[in-house]
Amino acid sequence: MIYQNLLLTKMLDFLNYNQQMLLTLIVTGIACSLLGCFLVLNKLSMLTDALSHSILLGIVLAYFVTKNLNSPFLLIGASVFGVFTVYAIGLLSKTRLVKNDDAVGIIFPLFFSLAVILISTFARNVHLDTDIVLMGQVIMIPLNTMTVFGVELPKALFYMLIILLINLIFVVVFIKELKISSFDPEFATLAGFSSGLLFYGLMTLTSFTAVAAFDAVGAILVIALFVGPAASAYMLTKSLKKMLLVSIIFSILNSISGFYLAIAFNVSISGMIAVTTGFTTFMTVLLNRQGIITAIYLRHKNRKEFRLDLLIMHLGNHEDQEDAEFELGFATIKDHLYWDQETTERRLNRLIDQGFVHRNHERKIYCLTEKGRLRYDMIKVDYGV
Amino acid sequence: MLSIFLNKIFSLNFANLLNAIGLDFEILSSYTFIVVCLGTMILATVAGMVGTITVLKGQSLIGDAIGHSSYPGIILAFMISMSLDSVSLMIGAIISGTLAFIIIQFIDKNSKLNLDAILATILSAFFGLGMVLKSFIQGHPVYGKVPQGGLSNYIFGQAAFIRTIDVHLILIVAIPSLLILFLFYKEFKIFVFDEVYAQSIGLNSTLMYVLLVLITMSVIATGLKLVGAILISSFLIVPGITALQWSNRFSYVLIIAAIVGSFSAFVGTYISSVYAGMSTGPCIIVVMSGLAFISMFISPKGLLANWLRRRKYLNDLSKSLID
Repeated sequence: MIYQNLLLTKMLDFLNYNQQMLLTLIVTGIACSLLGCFLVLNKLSMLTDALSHSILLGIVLAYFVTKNLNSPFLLIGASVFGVFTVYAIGLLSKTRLVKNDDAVGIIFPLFFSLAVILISTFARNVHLDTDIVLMGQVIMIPLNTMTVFGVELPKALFYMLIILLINLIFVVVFIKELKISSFDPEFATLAGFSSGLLFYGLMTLTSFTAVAAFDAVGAILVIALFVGPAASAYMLTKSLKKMLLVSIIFSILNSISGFYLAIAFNVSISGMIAVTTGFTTFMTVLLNRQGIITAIYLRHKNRKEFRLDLLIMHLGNHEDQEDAEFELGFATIKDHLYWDQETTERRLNRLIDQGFVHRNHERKIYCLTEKGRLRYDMIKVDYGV
Repeated sequence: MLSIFLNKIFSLNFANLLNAIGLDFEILSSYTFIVVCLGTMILATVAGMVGTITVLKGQSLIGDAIGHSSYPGIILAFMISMSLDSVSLMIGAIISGTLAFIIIQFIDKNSKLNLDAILATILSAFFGLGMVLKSFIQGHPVYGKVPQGGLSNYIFGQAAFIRTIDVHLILIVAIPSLLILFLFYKEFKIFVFDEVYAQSIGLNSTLMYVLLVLITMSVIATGLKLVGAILISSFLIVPGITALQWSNRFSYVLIIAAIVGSFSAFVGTYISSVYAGMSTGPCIIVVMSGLAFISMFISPKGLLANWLRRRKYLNDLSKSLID
């Protein structure tokens, strides 16, 4: 035990302030994206926006009770309030007087407004700055330390490690139930477990995670950490386990790149990570298998292939016929396929390089090789000729 | 002489009347209050009417995303113009809000992501960019020299600091917006309720979208200084939601939304001027949301009416069963 502690202390000593910050951010990111995958799958992404704004009211109210900004009850109180927000939104949309989006849009600005009013009237001299609420204080992470089992480590890191552990256990234990209720909620009810209970379990953890992350990274980055990597992973993968894994990888990449960019330009760290998260998600939109750039590339590639196929067809069709001498000369190929000199040469050379075609120097024509003839037969089958 | 005398009596009586119902005439007649109140009331009226269309189209959260997304435009406009001039900051907000809107639509069309995931990602990325730029200009050798205290006002809004020029700006945006709404009233109505039909009778729905986005964007951009990037979405959707509790007719809904918006703006501004330290934007939103919840409870379609109807039905049923 003592030896272990010594090792940990050594390790944390070895990590400088920057690395402690980065480690905290990465741990926070992983904890968020584990739950984020299920939020994205269940179309609950904007609830994170509502949560991250309305827990401010939870924090203020809990502060009035505990009178201490560092109390762990503050975290619990704020988390419970987050769950209450989700419950209130659900209740409001269940009355069918408003749509679900409207319910989200009416509840969280109200709670946020109440929080701002309460802070500005009753808690003016308290260290609850509204700027910090939005941007967090990543810089302060390494300065705010606590001692756990004889090891001094940043408080935020400790909290986030615990949250990560809880989230991980939740996802591992309930992965089947979460999967079924994400993809087929009706079957989930038939299969005999309550997707409502699971939903509130998920929301409770989301709320807890958001509250714990809130202090370090701020309300805006929390949203990005929950939704961004999960959204990217959703576009790239087709199985839940892969999606979880890919979202974690994305989250780590976003944190590292955002952190070092922010350090390089001396700007807001949490803001920069939100930007890199948005950037990677946008790039995934463009570059995934169904993405627009991929589609353009594939179309281009197909067109190219089709032209080469056309050329092989032409050669194959005329090869054994009497007019081969005439049809397979360079000039005729060019005219019959309506290509210009340069293009025809390039495409013929390409086929020669690939070994489909060879030049017959005696007859001054182009002929298919053995491989080319095979390809010719395949093309005939493929196109149904 | 007489007119002055009459005027005095009238104003005195008026003041007494106001005082009698608990309103402070001193505050109501102060120049600052009138400016702020005019600004917020006009804004809330237009925002309520325009926002109703967004609510009916089922896109109420887009306003929230665009509100957040206009923040980096404000900082960029400041960096380019090197001043806190309301007009240039507003143009910056419109540009970056529009850009965010275009990206949202682009991703929606070209990926399998749900709209809410797209909104959440774009919202946080854009607002994050705003934070990055803000921290970049703080302490920057060039930009740091220009006073930039007003910039944080655009996050939470600082209605108490608006001046006559801001009210003019609101009017310049409000009048054309309302004009467009009235001129294209029928088109908007069809566009809102049946887009396919609208297209089939030759209505250009792309043009309608562009018009709607243009109006929404400019309302958001003017509102930022008063209510801030985070809360501006409420101005758009809450009056609409309230109005929808009372009527199903598009024209009535628009009128009720306008009334709800301006009334809440007045009450909210008044409360924030009476009690020091209360910010105007949040006060107005609390009043607005209060009205919305009251409406949901007591309106003809509301919870109370539903409950009574159900009770009556059950009563009748049990009676008929006994008979």
